Amino acid sequence: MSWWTEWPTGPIRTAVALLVAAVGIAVVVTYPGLVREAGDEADANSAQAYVDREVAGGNGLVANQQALYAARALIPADATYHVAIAGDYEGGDELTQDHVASYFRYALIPRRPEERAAWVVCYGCDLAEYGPRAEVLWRGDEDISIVHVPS
Amino acid sequence: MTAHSLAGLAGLNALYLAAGAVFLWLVRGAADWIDAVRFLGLAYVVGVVVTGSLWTLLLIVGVSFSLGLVIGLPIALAAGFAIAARLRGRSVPRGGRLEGGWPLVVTAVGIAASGLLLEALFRPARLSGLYEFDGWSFWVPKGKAIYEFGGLDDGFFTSLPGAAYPPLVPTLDAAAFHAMGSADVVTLHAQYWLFGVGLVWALAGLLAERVPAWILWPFVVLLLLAPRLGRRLQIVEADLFLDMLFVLAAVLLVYWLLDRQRWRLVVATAVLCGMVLTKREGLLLFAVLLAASLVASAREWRSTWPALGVVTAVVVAAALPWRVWYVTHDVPGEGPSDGFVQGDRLDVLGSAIRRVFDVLWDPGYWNIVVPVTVLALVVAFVARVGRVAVFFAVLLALVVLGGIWATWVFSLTGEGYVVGGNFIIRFLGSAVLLCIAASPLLLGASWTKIANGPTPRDGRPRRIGLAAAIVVVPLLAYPVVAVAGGAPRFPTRDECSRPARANAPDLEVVYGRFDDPRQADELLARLTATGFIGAETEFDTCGRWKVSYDAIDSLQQGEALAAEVRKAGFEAQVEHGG
Repeated sequence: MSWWTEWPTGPIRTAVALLVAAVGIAVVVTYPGLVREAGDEADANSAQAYVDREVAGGNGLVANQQALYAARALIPADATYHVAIAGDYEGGDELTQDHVASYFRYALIPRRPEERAAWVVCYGCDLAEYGPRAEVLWRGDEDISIVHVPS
Repeated sequence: MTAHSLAGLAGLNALYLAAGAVFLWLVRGAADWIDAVRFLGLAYVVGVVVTGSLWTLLLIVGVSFSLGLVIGLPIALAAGFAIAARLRGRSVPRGGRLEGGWPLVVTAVGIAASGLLLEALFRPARLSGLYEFDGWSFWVPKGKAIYEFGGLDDGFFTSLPGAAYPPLVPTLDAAAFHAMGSADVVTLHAQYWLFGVGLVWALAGLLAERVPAWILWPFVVLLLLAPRLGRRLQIVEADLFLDMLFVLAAVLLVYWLLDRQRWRLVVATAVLCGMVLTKREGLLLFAVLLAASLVASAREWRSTWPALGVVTAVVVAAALPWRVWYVTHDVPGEGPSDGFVQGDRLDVLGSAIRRVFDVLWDPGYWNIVVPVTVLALVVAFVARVGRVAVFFAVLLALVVLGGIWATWVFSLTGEGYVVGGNFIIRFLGSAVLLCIAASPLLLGASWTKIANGPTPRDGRPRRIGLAAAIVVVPLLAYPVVAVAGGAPRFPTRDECSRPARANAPDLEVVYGRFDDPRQADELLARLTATGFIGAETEFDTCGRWKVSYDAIDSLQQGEALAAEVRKAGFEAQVEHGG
């Protein structure tokens, strides 16, 4: 009997060989695609602008990249800040309303978020509610401001 | 993003490797250099988990996380393990002889194929931005916080999403930041790529003990080709890292059940400690691994179960301090908020089961891994390979059941939600990675079981030269071809400043760049007051505010204006947009 019909070893040998062959075929079929895909992605990553790469997941979400860099420049590293977003704010993307504060928390470390902080990143908020002493230090497109409220 | 960051990472990972290699030498010894190289991947992973776990425990008890600790601990561990190894009489590995013939050639093809894929995957990893939601939402903020604040800052850590998740991975991130000299979240992706290299090497090295090369290597390459595995090696999240530890621990445990070499249990314990300090799912995966080990060794329970009890005690001791920390800091626990069994959610159970199997069988996520493993299990049971088949069958079943349970109790439901969401895809990565480790072991065991006797040594030429060429040529050729297409870039914030050397259509005179927009406005006002009308401020693509005048037709015109501006006491440079 040949090696692949002998019972029970033949079918087992055949099954092992077929399964390894199937995996081998899957490897051969998909291998070039992954190499090409990785190369394309590397080129795309390399061609990105510095800010687009650095902001990455925050692009769109923060509505305006400048707000992030202005916040870094204006809010001292040891200060606390608060991100306020108006309930009816329509800028940015579908994640902005719920997650922009979370993104600032990631991007502004070591500055710490705090509810009643003197530094406020305002998304469409009513600046009057911060009182007459509030100083708007930066105002950008998309109705975003950085405000300092002296204590 | 810089070469400096990459060099720092290389140094840190060399320390992980040194600590792990000496640890492995202590607990296992090394027959020769070939043997040592085969286990280098496992050594690296062990170095990462042992060092990372100790850093984590030190952080929990309040030790400050500094560059000194980052460098000092792995060096101290390596030195301590080396002294212990010498005291234990371990000798330095000597020489080594490759088994030649066609198996070596097949191994060379496998190493070349997987090595080239890893090289290809490194390229996008090196300059990848942080896009993953969980990455910027809490994993990386935790790492940055440890780096910036030097510890587990109470207020910051307790307010983040996933606050109860153990901090091993953020600690490793923080160590990487220290090594790189800054919180470079772009280059951090290369660290995760290195974890992936370690896994592939460790797994291949372990499996090669028992699996013929022609069965082993297609699966190793398939691991990298499965879309949700290989393409996510560089993702800055803890899921794949956890899966890697889980699978290595599973292979080490099943090997221990088969041959009772104690070092395997010691290394498995170290890996399991890392696992329960990585994610809350680590506890679930540890539980199913323990259960599968108990079932597969039930016949010899007198000799195996006490040892597994000791492993459990050590793992629980490693897991406990973090759980004490978050409980004492009023952080909600890791379990489902509505209890482990939720009678009022029975309507979701059917959907959870369907969702788990849909994800498992989706080749868009895992290629053909899962169906091949199911068939490999059938073959192994028919071939009566025994314990290996029982172990993996039980383990896979329990992981899938765990996935169903987690999907059932953790799923957000209602309009707009998919049961299990993205969570179950990530969780089932552990099952699929396990499939990739299990399949070659099952098929290899089946093949060996029905072989007529020991495989005769290949009496034909050893083909070492051919094997070396197969490995070296593609692994050198790929980077050469990639570099020929353009030298690698190391972007910095200064790259937007491109001094003009010749006429170009986009010339401008730049008066200054500022991090602070107020300084840019101030300069613009002074320029205007001095009479340099027409300049403006603009946010550049490097994150700075640029003050410039762009109505420049030629380099000569630009140089003349720049000279005039400089004469008035300002700075000015002719640049092109590039």
